[in-house]
Formats: sequence, structure tokens, C-alpha cells
Amino acid sequence: MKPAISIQNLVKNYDSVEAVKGISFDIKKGEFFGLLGPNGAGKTTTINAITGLVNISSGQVKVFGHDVIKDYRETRKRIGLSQQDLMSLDRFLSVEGILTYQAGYFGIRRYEAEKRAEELLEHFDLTSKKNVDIRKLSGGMKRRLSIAKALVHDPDILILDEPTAGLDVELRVDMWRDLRKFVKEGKTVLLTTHYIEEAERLCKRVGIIDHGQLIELDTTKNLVDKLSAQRITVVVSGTIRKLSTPLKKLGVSVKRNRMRIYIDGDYSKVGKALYEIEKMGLKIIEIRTAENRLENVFLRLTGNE
Amino acid sequence: MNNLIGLSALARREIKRFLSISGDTLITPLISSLLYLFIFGYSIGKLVPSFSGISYMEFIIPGIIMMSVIQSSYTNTSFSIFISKWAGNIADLLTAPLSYMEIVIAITIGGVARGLLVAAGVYLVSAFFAGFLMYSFLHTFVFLVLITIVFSLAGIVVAIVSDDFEHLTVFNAFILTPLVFMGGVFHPVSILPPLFQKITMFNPLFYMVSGFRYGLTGVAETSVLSSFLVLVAFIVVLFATVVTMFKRGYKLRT
Repeated sequence: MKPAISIQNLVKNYDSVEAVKGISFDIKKGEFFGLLGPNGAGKTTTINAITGLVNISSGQVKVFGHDVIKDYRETRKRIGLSQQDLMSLDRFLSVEGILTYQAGYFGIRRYEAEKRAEELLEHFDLTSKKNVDIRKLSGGMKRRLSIAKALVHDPDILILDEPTAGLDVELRVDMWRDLRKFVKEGKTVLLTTHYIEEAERLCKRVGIIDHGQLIELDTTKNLVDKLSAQRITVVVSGTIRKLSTPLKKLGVSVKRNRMRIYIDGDYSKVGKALYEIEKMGLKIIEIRTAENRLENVFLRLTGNE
Repeated sequence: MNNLIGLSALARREIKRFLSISGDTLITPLISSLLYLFIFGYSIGKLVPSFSGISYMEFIIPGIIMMSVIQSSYTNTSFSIFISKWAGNIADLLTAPLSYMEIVIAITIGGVARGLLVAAGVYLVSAFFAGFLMYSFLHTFVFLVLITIVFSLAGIVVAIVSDDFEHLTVFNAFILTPLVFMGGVFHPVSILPPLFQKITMFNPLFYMVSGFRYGLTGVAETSVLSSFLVLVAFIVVLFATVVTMFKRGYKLRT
């Protein structure tokens, strides 16, 4: 079966800046895929390359086997996009108008478009706002409208750039439920998010992008297990000025009076590290353990810990 | 063209946009035209001799309708595209399964619709000064539609090329307005010195105004066929340019 999205050696340069540096990955049909990375990592550029919002410098992007440049009409029909920027909603249309016209652009007849818009407005609790100028909507309402707009032509692939930014917890949970339902129907979701908990809860696989490169790609579970981000924090009395060479070799990091030991599947590291700490004459006052979390993996891989 | 529903939706959106601000888009040109007709046609016109058997008022009415139509069609598409670029909702078009040709046709329909509505309004206003001028409805209508297409397409080109609002007004002030004024809107070209008459032959607006004037009054300063051919040539070149810009994503895609 052809992948829902296939990206091969994608490169995107902005003048002298290489925003995406030859990334490749496939997203299977029916998969919930998360793309994580710090700001400016290349997530939105990658999404824009799939949807046709950037000119690709080199490489190829296919949607269900169709090239996004040569067969752009076929690929665009299959994709629903919710952009990160809520300013991009058409300011000359009402809430309902945004949905009906968007459906029209995708070839849906007016009667059908109005019916579909009505259902989505109801579902996203926007019926009472259907004739309102979009500039009068709250951020959360705009976000819901943006997602409704992405769904209005019943796409096979839903691409969401930071979909729950600005939503309160209750709405975020509702959104997660909707997205799970969408995937259960055999549809594909590509999601970028700053909420790592969101990716961990929803995504079957996760790709981590940093500085335009795909630095990790695996199932969420494998990623967490493989990297074994479980760590132990040792708090000592007094400030640590310099780490001993054996501690450095064990990969221990230090911040003020705290040392972090990354287990990486080798539990003997803990004993060795504690021995070395004692040898340095430091008094241990507390030992804390941290759970394996995608967030830890993400922070370690992107060097932001 | 495969997505006629999409084309129609986008054209309706373009029309809805200018109708939603009709005070600015439809009423303002009527007031400006009324002032031009009153000052130039009614007041000064009494002092100007007739030309080819028509009064000065009758001479300038087609030109003033043309001026309003050109400004309206140009402004409609240039503002629509520029604001979409600036706000980001141009993405709605670039991610929809519309061919680039369908996008350009739909946006042009919006400009043509506004131009025709303004033309009808100014024509009605002009009837108070000189009655309902009409020599050939067919000629008038064909020239009107072709001219609105030319300036709707020109508006799209300028909006795509422009990086800020100033660029839109620069084109209007330094290129469009001088060409309109030098194109025989207010004066017969035959009264100009020979050198300026020759220069005017290179002004495309001269052919457009002359062709349209023929439709309303039966008087033209150049052959109707050459006016028609100039318009068709402009439409072909501009349409190809705009479709290519969309295809390449010039200043539309990053």
C-alpha cells in the first residue's frame, strides 16, 4: 500500500539559510504521526512543502503516490490543513462563510457545503457564532474554526500545525477525542505540537526535527524505551565546581549542586556514579528519579536539557 | 478546467468581498464621476467646441466611465490579492484543488463584476447630464468587458509583485493615472501637437478609451479593430503572466 505521505530528501533553502536539510520519512495510511522540534526546527516548512505553500528546493513529496507538484490538484484534494497562524482566516467572511466557501473551493456544491458547515459548527460549538465577524472570535474559537475548516471537505489526511495552542484543557481533551475518532475512521493525521504530552498521548510514531534534520523517527513507545531517558538526579551539599574525569565518562551532567545520571539501559552506572561522587568528598542529601517521558527524550535529543 | 464549483465559489467570494464594503467600492466612484462630469462636462464643457459632431459633455462621458471602470477593476483584484497575501489567507487558494488558471479566472470575474457595476452606476449618473448615450450596445459591452478583464489582470500582477501597500498606490499614481489622463479621456488626441499625437499612439489606454467611446457615441479616434486587437493582445499577455506567477508561486509561496 502506498504511504499516505512520502517525503524523500526534502531540502528547502531560504536564501542562504537551509531550513530543511534533506529529510526523508513516510507516514502510513491511518497513522497518527507527530512531528516535534524546537521553534525554527523546520516543522512548519515540512508541512508547507506537503501542502504546497513553499517551493521545494530539491527532493520529492508524494501524497498517496501522487507528486505534490506535478499532481497538485489530486494531492490537495486529499489534505485538510489547519495552520498555526490564526490571522490567516479570511477576514471578509463570516464564521459560516469561511466553511462554506472553503468547501466550495474543494468542489463541494453549495447545498452540500452549507449542510456540512452546519454539522461542523454544531460539533465545534460555534453555531451561535455562525454569522459573526471572525475578528470578534476568541483565540480558542478561531482555533476550533480553523480545524473545522480543515475538515470541511472530509479529507483523507489532516495536517495540524499546533492545533491545541490557545485551547483550554477541556477543549484540548475534546480535540484529542475528535482526532482519535478521525484516525479510527482510517484517516491519517500529521500533527506538530509544542505539547509533548499531546504527542505522547496521541501519536503512534514521532519524528523529531532539529536544525532542519530528522534526528529521530520511531514509535513513541520505542523512542522512549530505546533512548531510556530514565535519569537519576543526585543533590549534594555545596556547589560542584568541576566534575571528575570518571563522572564525565559516565555522561553525568551538572547544574549547581545537582548531578544527572542518565541510565541508558546500564543500571551499573548508578553505583559507579555514586561511588565517584563520594570519592569527590561530596555529601549526598537527596536522590530523585524521573520517569521515562517523551519530553525527556525530546529535550535530550535537541540538546535543550 | 475541472473544478468549476471551486471556480464559482472563489468568484462569489470575490464579489461578496467588494459588496460587503459597497460604500467604498461602489459609491465612491459614483461621487468622483459626478464631480468630474459637473466640473469638466457641465461647467468647463460649455466653453469647449464640439468634436466630430458630439458635444464636449458627450465626448468625456465615455472617458469618465472608463476611468472609473479601470480604477475599480484594478483596485478590486489588487486589494483582494494583496490583503490575502498580507493576512495569509492566500493559503486557502494555494492549498485548494483549484488549477492556477481557475484561480486567475475567478479573481478576474470579481474585478469584472465590480467594473461592470460601477460602469452601470456612472452611466446612470451621466444620463442626468447628456441623456442615455448609446450608439452600439454590442460594441459598448464588448469593450467594457475586455477593459475590465485587462485591468483586473493588471491588478493581480501588481498585487503579486508588491511587497507593501505603498507599491499598489505607486503603480496607480505613476503609471495608471498618467496613462488614463494622456489616453484621450478629457481631450481629443487630434488637438495635441504632432509629437504628442505620435507618443499617444503608444499609450494602450488611448485605444481602449477610443473603442469604448465608439460604442457609446459612434465617434472613434482610431480604428475600432485596432482598439479591439490591442485589448485582446493585452489580455493574452497578462493572463499568461498571472497564471505563470501562480504556477511558480512567485512572491506567493515562500
